[in-house]
Amino acid sequence: MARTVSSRSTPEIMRIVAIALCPGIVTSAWVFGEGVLLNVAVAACLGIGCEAALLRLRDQPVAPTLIDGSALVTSLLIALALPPSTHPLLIAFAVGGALGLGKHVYGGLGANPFNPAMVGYALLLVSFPAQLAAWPQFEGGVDQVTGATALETFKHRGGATVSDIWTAANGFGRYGVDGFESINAAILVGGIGLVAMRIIDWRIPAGVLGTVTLLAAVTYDGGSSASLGSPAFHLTSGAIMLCAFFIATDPVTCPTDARGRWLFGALVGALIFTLRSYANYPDGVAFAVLIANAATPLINRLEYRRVVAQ
Amino acid sequence: MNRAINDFVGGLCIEEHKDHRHLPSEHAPLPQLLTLCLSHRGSALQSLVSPSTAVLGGTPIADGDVMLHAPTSGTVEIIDGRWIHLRPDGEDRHAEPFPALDAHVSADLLLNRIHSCGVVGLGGGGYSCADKMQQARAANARTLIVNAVECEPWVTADEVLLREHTDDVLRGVDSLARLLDDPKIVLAIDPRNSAVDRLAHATTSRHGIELLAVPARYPAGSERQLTQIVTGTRLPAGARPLDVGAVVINVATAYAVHRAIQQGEPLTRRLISVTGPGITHPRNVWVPIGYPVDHLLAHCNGGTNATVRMGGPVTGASATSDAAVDKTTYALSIVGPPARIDPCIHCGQCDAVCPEGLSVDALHFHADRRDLAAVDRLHLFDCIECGACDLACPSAIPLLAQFRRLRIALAERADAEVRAEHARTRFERQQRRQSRDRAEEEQRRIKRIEAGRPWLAQ
Amino acid sequence: MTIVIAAVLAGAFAALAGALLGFAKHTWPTADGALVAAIDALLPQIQCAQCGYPGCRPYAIAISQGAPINRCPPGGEALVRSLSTLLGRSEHTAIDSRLPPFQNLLAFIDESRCIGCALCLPACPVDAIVGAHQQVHTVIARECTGCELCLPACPVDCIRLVRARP
Repeated sequence: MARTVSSRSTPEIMRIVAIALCPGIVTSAWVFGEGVLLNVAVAACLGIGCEAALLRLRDQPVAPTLIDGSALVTSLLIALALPPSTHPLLIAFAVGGALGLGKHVYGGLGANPFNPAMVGYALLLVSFPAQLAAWPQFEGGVDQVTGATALETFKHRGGATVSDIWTAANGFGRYGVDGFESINAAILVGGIGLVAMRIIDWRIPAGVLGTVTLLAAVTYDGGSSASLGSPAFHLTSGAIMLCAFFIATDPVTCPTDARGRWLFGALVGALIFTLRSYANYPDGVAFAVLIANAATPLINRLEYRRVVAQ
Repeated sequence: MNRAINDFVGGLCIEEHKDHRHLPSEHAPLPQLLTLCLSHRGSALQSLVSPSTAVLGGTPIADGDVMLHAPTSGTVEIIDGRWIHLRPDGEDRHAEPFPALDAHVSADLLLNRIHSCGVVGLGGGGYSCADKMQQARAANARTLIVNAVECEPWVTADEVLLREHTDDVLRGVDSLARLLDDPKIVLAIDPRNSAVDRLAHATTSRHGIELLAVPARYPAGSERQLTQIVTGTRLPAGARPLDVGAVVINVATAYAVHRAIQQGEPLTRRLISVTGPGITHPRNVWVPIGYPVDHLLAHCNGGTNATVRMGGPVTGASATSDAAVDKTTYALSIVGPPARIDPCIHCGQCDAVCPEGLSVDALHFHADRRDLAAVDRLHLFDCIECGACDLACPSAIPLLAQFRRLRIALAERADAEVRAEHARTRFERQQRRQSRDRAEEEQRRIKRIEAGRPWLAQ
Repeated sequence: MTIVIAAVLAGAFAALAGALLGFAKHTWPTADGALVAAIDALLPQIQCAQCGYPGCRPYAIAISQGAPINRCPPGGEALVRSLSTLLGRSEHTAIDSRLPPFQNLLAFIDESRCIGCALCLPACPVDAIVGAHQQVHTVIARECTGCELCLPACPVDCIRLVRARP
């Protein structure tokens, strides 16, 4: 029926999500330089072009679907997840994988079981791991050197205590990885905006961040050589906020009801912490989300219930 | 006015679009032809008039579960055994009304009058009011809920009726309350309703009517949800308000009861909203039952039948080209151009707002695949068809229409299954009988041979 | 040598399993009955006998023993589809084109012409015709499946088919 309620339409929701990513993009550019903006521009153009091409291939009307903005959001997420000034071909690989293999092979928006952005990112990550580790490091903030990221340095610190590595290696800030602290804070601002506008369900970020904090607090032993990092370290490093507010909250691939969303958030949080601490890759956001996505139908199935009093 | 302490599950806040609530009601001119349907809620009515006879307004013209009366004077024709066409003579003469009943007549007399005046639930359900009150008496209902909530956007007929005829409605409520054993009377109303002040004034001088402000959330006026707001008990699946000792009566029904008892006047007209986003001047019009929809739209400068829903803009069903106002039509809604339908993004809004707690998202998923068994498992038949999911859906998917189609398909399938099972039993019974008959015949043949009369064995 | 032993063992195991399966199939005919019941549940129970069997259940038994699944016009293509899903048999997708389409009508006895011969009574598979010798017969509309089997039984052609009430 004609909309008689002032609820937001699906395209509006996508546009607001894209706008909420802006603080994160701007801060990222401020920290890492114009390479980030280059990423964003390339990814956005590729994403829209790729979406249009795929819609044509599927004999779907291009114009109405293109303006729903979901391809733009996917592209922006990929752009933010990649190191600054990633080669455009690599971005094309990720965006194409995201929209093609992540979304349209399943029948387009709403039908995909996995978060498209993370499908694209994971494809790129397993195909070109070396290029994706090329994050700039900080030394006085000016001359940027490419090298292992701080999360990776922290993980493979070889028996040093936390305070040792903090003083010995570059790239650590007050709580976590330098630069990412402010980026995560900016993304948190955008995310809280989305929660306040009720675009995303607060339960998912609460579940993700709560579980990561809880697990980090339980396992943190004050910074010994075997320490897995303090809660503050985990909450300010890597793509944690991006994941909690923008990736895990993708409505298509997360459960539909409140209890299911708590469960999903907790699962993502537990997986992030586990992958960060024990797996091969420095950050586990993409794989955590993809694994939790795979569990979504099952969680939904558990929640096929009625609230009706019996 | 008291604020409700109980609430219902789900629901959502919506824009009311009720600016025309302050306009006075109007009267529609008599049309060339009134079309009265010879069926009510799926059961047929028997015509009481012979073709081409002249009738006066208020004459009974059909009987069945409910009585149907001629709305005005004119000539009747019976079409196809399914419709009565009444051609008004323009003089609008009426038969002598029933005598007014005073406060002390017996309950049977009251019920009889309500039935013989053809009063039904005017909130859309259309269940016979006399039958409902009879059942409420039998079940010893202790709560009489007067439903003045009218939660659907754009619809203001009950509100205007209540404001213009406050005392008459309350008198009708009193009559209904006399049928029950000293019930608790609760008049449930949206606090934004323009009749609240008049009601507050009228109820202070009366005893026993509690004015209750319900949560301003859709669908607070739905029968099951309202019962929960008033009684605090959530109705189990399939239960009716009577199962928790409550009976819910719409204000328009209470008004019709008042007219029947104090004025002796059968139900032949009602106040309906001609409204919706597709009409410039929404309004409330008194129309005789049987008023053709296209005439009414022309009178109100509305759209065509193609864009009209019989009922509110959310829950109304599309009107057919020859549709006419019947007793359950509380509104005609002219809807605007349909919104663009986007793909379902499984946002879960529909699940969150469903007042019956159904897994709407999963229902829609299986409905798209026409998986009848799955939607049945997901309790499609507990859907109250309120359309809250439609209102919440960011992709503007017409969920309610889809679920209604599926319910029809499911009912048809269940019907076919029952018929098949029946035929199977009868066939097998006949097979058994025939084989038994053959065996007995064989036995008799053997006996005849044994008795030495083989020539009879042929 | 090892290969020979392995082959012999595998062969012996396969033979054992096969023997067990065969034994089960022949020892527990209830499984067969369950199949017939499952097929019967899908059949529309019109009992029209157009399939060449005297009724729906006999046809279900025949199908369970390999009869073609495309011989039920009242069931239509939907039935062929659901039967091929149930049985895993995909040799047919449509109803045999030599069979006339099912019209879904009801039998109606013209009472002015009925002679009360009672010949149509046993012809009706669901006992939907009531009557006795020298008495006018009539069809119970609620019970009639529209199988048309009473038409040839009537010597005076007083039964015709009418459209079912909507």
